[in-house]
Amino acid sequence: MDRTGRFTTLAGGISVGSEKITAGTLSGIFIDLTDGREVLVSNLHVFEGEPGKTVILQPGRHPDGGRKPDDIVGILKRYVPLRETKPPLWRRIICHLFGWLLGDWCLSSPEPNLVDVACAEFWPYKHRGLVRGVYLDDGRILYPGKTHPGDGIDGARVWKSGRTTGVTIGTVLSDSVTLKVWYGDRFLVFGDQILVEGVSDHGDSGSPVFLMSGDSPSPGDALVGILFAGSGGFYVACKWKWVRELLKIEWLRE
Amino acid sequence: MTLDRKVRKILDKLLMEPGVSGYSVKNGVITIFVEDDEMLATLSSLSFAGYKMEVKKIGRIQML
Repeated sequence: MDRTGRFTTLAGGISVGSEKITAGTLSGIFIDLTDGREVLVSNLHVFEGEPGKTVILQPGRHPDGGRKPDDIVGILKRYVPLRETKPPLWRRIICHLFGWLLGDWCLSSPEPNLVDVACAEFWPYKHRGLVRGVYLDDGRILYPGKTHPGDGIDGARVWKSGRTTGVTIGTVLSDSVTLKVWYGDRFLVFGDQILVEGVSDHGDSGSPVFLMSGDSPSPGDALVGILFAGSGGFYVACKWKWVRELLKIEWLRE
Repeated sequence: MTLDRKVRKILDKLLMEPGVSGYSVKNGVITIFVEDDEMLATLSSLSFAGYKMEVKKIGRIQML
């Protein structure tokens, strides 16, 4: 199955992106806990833009060929802002001058980020359908009907469904890692993340990650996080518990 | 300040060093994740009293 094409039925695991970026992966269709409506979800760096103004394309713009207005499927609704790693200038000056006196206060780093996520209102230019669940490599849509907060899963087997590398199975190396992630022009620090040994590549950002209950993807699996970064043989997912709490969305069907 | 918190502050500083990708502290084990073999060799002799140390190469983590 070519995940970079145009889909009339939207579900997790296919190409998507804001008009400002190249292409990432649609995490899936979720429920917005603030108003009960269905929303499209991916990473903030995939849905980058201005809420209420920036449109979301399926497939993503480049290299997948998504264009305005035919491929518009939504409009950015909200996101969880990303915190910069560098302390503010005033704090750096104080620590430069009085660091010998202030000790630990100057040693402390800024609060780490917990998620890289955003949601978009479903607002298609042409007819598109929404289905809860995620595309498998053979084109079927699977709906794993559980969620897992993301704690206590060291060594567990997980799978993800992404635009570029499709469904891949991996192993959780750590469920509480603090990481420095390169965003093209700067590093951002993330805390309490899931680090997985598994295959991913550019364009997989936004892939939903599931905790496996058997040997292959199944309806009994649980959504555990959303992939946003990686390094070839390893990838990082923000935990479902933080995504739910900070973006205020729900995966489960009523 | 607890030992874990003190160690985390030191690890937060270490994280800002080029070549260090991340760290985790769990059940008395500190794991430092690094970008390359050079940093792996540099940090392999690092030790923290009261903790078991591991250093693992995972490459540079970047948005995908």
